Amino acid sequence: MKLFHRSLIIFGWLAAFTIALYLPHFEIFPFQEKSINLFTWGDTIDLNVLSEFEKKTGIKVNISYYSTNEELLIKMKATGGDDYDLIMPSDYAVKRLIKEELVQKIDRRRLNFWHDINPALLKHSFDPKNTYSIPFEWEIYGMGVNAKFFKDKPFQPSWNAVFNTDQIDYTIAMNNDPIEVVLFAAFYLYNKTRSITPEEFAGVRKLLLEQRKKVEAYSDTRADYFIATGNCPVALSVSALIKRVRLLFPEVDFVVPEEGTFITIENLCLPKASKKQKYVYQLLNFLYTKESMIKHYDSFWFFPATLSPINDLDLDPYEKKLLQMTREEFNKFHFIQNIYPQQKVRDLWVEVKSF
Amino acid sequence: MNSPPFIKDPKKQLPFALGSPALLWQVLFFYIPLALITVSGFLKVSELGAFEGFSLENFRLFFSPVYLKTILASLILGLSNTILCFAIAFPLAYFMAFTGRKHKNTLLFFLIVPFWTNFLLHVYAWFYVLEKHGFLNNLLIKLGIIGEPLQLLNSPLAIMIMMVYYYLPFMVLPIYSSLERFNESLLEASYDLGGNFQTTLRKVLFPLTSRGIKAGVFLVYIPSFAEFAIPELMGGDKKMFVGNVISTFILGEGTGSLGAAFTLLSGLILLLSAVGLYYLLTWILEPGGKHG
Amino acid sequence: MDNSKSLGRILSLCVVAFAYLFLYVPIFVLLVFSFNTNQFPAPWSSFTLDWYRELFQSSYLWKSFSNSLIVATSATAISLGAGIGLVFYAASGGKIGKFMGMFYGNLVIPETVLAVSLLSLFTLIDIPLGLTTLILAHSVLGLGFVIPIVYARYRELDYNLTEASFALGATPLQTFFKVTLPLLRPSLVTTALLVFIISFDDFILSYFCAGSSSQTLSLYILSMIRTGVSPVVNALSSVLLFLSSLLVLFFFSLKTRVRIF
Repeated sequence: MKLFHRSLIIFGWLAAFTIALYLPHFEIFPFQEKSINLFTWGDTIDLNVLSEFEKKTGIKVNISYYSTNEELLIKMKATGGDDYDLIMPSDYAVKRLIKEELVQKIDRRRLNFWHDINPALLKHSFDPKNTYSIPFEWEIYGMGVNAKFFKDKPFQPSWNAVFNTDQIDYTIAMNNDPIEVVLFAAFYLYNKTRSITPEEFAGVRKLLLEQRKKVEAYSDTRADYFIATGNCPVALSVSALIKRVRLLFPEVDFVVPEEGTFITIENLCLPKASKKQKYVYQLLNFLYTKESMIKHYDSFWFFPATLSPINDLDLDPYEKKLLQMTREEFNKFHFIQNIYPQQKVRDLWVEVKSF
Repeated sequence: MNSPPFIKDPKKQLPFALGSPALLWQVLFFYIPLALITVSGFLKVSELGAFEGFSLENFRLFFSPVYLKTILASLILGLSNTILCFAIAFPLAYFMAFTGRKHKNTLLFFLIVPFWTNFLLHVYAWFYVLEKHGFLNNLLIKLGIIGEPLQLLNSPLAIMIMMVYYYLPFMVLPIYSSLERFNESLLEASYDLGGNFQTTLRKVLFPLTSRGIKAGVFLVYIPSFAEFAIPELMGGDKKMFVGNVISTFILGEGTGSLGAAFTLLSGLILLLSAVGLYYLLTWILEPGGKHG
Repeated sequence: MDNSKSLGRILSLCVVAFAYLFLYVPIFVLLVFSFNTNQFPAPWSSFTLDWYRELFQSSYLWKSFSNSLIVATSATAISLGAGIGLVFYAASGGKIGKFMGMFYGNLVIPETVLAVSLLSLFTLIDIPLGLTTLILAHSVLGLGFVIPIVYARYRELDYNLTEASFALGATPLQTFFKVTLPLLRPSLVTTALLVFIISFDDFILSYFCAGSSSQTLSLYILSMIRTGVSPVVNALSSVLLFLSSLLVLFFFSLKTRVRIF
């Protein structure tokens, strides 16, 4: 009997724990008729714009975040996407989502801004007719350069500036994503952006190990900080981050390597399982207004996908140039993708960072 | 005899009802997760997430020089941090317990306040001090000691400074606690009996405080081994230690069982080194056995 | 003999001075620059309270602060509750002495390993990561403190007092609440404080077990460090330092200090 009592008690506690643990799951997405569940990157959607939208339409937007495309893809595959109404995959992630049939077709008739979208961002290989995705913002990889340091020294805006270890006599801040770094190195050595052979990977390995001597730090998000503090005069980074530091230290320039460079386009898609199209399209029309795009730029400095705000933004000359590019010029950019088996890339990264 | 069993004095089981959640919690959320990690390490999972059976392949992957070097680096990091912390902590604790006894509360207060403040803020504070145009460089230049600012951050030096800074209280407090209940007259007796400073240390002080010293050593050594935030923030993320490798694999998608395997492997090595350290300490601190 | 003793004294004085300098110079620099108009790395220009203003207006900050507070209080409450329950069981005659060793592991294994193991449990049983999982993780840590300390203290209690209580006719329950608990109160309070601080300042468990959607104070600071350097963090530091000092003062005001080692 004692055992029976005790088992009952233990079972009771187990039940209590289980309920307590799973409770939030039901609270995260309460059934609110007038609401949208937005799943996106941190620092991409301006919360003030969302609250304005809520005030105007009465539609509540619940926002939750992921930090990598892989996280998004795994969640979408696991749940079929029925938790979310709007997501923001990057270029290659859109392709995967289409392939897995996880996103629904966009009804352009319900959108009032399609004419405003920068045509250079449309009709790319990951979604050739933009049937499933709408570009929202994009960014470009380049180098932040401390112009004061290079006042009397020549500076060539080229990948040599970060990879030609013999010729550079300063330290650099490098990207911290192994997939991107391997890609950039392969591009620099072999002009390849799709996939590389094991021999070429060995070449990449040699380059990265050699480059270590000149690397001040590896960081995705603090590159601008390293330039601003004078730690290193050159940092590999995206334009948005360099813009951020330019606001405080105008002597920092952003240059695009002349051999070519890489971009990412963040797109908005609707998961197939979502039934809230009525509200989502309202949100989309609101997000793509000129005012909203301006606010987003001012908050995060990503390039907007639409053309109308361009004249109202506080743009530097290089940004204006990029935003007014023709399709031909734009096609010279490459997308980020995985060009070698992931485990080998990971092993290489640990080796680059070992003693 | 015929009444239903659960009506018969249910109050008798009240203590068990109240006492069991603690044990249950511990089993559910400490031992079972550890068991999970252990089992995970032996799972072979394809890149797409499909379960492919049990194998030792994950471990084979980590028996390469690259990963073993990382584990070695962490061992060295842990040991050097422990030694440095001890070198500062022991005199400090001694001072607090004896010489500065009158002010021991104030000293303790100022020791604990940083200890009870968020660690990341301390990292941030050290940025200010060690930066190229930060406090230390400006001071040295003003004093004329150097002409050009030194590169102090993003280096092993910066990592070590931060490690000692953060872990110092962990070493001081147990040693201080041990010393506090120590009778200073024992030290006097030792001197009276003709011993000098060194023998007093070895034959009297160390053996009697060995418990506190050991506690301090392990409170510093074990977490230092697994540290990843300090090498990332203070070292420019240029070197990976065990903690960095674990977090890369665990937080990456589809690499969970690899992460588990590496955690197991490094955990085992840590355990072995800790046991060795324990016996080494016993041998050093208690020469001739505990009753020597 | 005297020489070596005074040499030892001077040496230890130097070490102590160095140690406290080492501990406080960064803090001092941080505090001073929280009032600087210029952002790092520009040098001092003029006094301002702007950063403090910006700090108190940041909704992100308040959200993460309240999250950390919620997690810390809940974890403390859970660990304390479980600990008291366990002591009650022991006080009512339950034989748990041999199980005490089970709780020592929590503090011995590196926190990273604990975080990683919990994460794998959460993914296995498909719990969404968030505040609940954090509270759970922190309670495990908390238990590792509460149980060994409180149980040891309980064992040190003078059994004569409880005997006397029984002799006077009190039930076990009454004895527990009116005698045992009050005697344990000092160590309960101290331990609660310890667990609270450790949970509030914790970084590693939050890093792994909080998921992308919930933000604690540590994670907020980490994101601010990772995205640049802003004097708002300086302002935050001075505020938190002030709060910590208050807590330490409170700790010192409790006359009893718990023998942990």
